[in-house]
Amino acid sequence: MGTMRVLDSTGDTAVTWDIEDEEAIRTAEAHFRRLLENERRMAFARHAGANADEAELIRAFDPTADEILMVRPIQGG
Amino acid sequence: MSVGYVVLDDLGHGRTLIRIISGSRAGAELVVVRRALRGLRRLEEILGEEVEWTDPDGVAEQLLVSLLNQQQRYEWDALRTFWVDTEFGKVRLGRLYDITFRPTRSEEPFRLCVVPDDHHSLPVADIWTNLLLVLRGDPERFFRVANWQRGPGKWHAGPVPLDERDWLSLRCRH
Repeated sequence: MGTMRVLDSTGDTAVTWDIEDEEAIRTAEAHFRRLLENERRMAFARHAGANADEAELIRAFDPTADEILMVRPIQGG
Repeated sequence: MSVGYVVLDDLGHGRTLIRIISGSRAGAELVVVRRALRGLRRLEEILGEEVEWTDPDGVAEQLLVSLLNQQQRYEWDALRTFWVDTEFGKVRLGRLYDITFRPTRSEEPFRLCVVPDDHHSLPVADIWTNLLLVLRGDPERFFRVANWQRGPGKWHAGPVPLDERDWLSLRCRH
């Protein structure tokens, strides 16, 4: 089971998919693309339990990832 | 096994009264404080069980802690800040609008200010998760947008004036 966690005001909102479920993967991938293209989000994939040192910046949806973290673009404060 | 809880009352100043509703301490009522306090133990440590967080700050805190290495967790627990090693120096996250950067090639530290878009809508721990991941995965972006101050002088818009060798190294990688 893969999970995409989108950081938001609730902490994060999770979208999950089963690797055997093509429809769920298509839905998650479409959401991923919207977040990247429309909201300029950045995506990081990690294995279960891996810390940030092992997280990888990704630019395409990876259905085999254990967890994808969708963070916001950053700016000078 | 995880522990569930319900919020009984917001006591102000970042304090919340909760009642544990499952697990070995079911029925216990606790005041939890999770914002910017030094030396605070996490609820998981007090109870010795995993807590199933349902509030934004708790969810964000749990995610951030899961991304920290052992040393960073120690620092976060003790000081609510943690250091991130980059090839250009060390960056301390945890103080909003006051990020410390100690460059490898220079003695004098910078103060940086970087935030996620619409950061006021995020729980504080999510802000640090956001910046931690960008700093690890795309440091060029982090140092390019950061507003910076060196010494007591005025603040400047990014990019941070890294050593030219650092910028060259960043551009070559991205």
